Amino acid sequence: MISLETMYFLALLFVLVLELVFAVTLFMIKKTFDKERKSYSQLFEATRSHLTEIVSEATEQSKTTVQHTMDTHDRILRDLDHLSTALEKKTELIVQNMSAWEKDTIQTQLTTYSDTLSKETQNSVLTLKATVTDQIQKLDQEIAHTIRDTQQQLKLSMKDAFAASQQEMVKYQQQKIQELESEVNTIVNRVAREVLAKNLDGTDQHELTKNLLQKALQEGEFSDDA
Amino acid sequence: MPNPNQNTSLTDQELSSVVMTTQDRVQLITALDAFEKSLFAPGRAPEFRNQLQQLPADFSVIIKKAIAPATQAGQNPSPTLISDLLKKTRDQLDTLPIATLLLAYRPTVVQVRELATFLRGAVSDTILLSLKYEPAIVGGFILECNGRKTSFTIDRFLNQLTKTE
Repeated sequence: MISLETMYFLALLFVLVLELVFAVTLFMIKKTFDKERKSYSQLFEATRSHLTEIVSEATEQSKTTVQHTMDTHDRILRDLDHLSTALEKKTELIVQNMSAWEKDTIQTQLTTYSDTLSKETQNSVLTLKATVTDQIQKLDQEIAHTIRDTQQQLKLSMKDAFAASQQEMVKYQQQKIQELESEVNTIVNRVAREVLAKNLDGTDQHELTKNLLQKALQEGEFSDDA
Repeated sequence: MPNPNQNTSLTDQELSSVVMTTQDRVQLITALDAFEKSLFAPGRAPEFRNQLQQLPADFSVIIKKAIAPATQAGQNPSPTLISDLLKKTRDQLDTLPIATLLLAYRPTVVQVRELATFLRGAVSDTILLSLKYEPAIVGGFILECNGRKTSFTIDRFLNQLTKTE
């Protein structure tokens, strides 16, 4: 049977061993890491030196190339200058050595070319002029047409307005005539009533009624189909 | 035995020869009512002949004719039968056609007869004349007959005159 102290001692021992193993492991890891870091630092330095060399080399080469190109350009320009001078001299010599016939021919050709150019220009001007004239005429026609339309519409509008005002006037006159007629009727009826009421006695009224009954009979008021 | 469904022997023409106006009709109906009432008066015998003598002659003739079917049956006619015949006479009076004349004056009796006679010749020989005084009419008349209304007034002619001018 293991005593409690023994168990405690064993446990303590186990923890100590564990810590020792952990410490040794940490130490080994740190050592490995330092070694790797050193190795990477060396590699980085070597790469940077190499790249610096490459860039320096490329810069030198570019400078050389540019200089070479500029030199070539200058040389070509000089060559062209020489060639031009030589061509001018050659041309002068050719012209000096030309016969009168050759000069006339060239002159004629130049004149013909000039005439042709002149004619073409003239034709172009004429065509342009014709086009412009045509456009102006069309524009004139359109303007005239628009003016005519506007005048026509104005006439119609004025005619409508006149007709409407005339209609209103006729309507107003008719209304006034009706009012006057109504007033006249009222006055005539009133006067007639007053005169009749004053002058007709019972006998007169009876005679009038009989006469009107007779009139109604003659007019067929009492017939079945009336 | 007298028949209770017996009709009077009066014709419309006979009735309208006495009754020319609606006023005449009212008077005749009043006479018929009075005569009927006397038949049933308590404590009095139905001596209708005495009663008839008290009525106007033309009304008396009409009533005699109306109750003839009852009186011809025997000396003592049944008051109920006479009453029935009188009722039929009243009904017959109600069926007579009426022409209403609106006038601007109040006609005399003679003038009313004239107007009624004229209308009977023009419209129907059994028509009754109903007269009304209308102060709004200046002259002439308005006739309402057979559902139609005809105006023959001075107003109408004046209006026609002013319109045509």
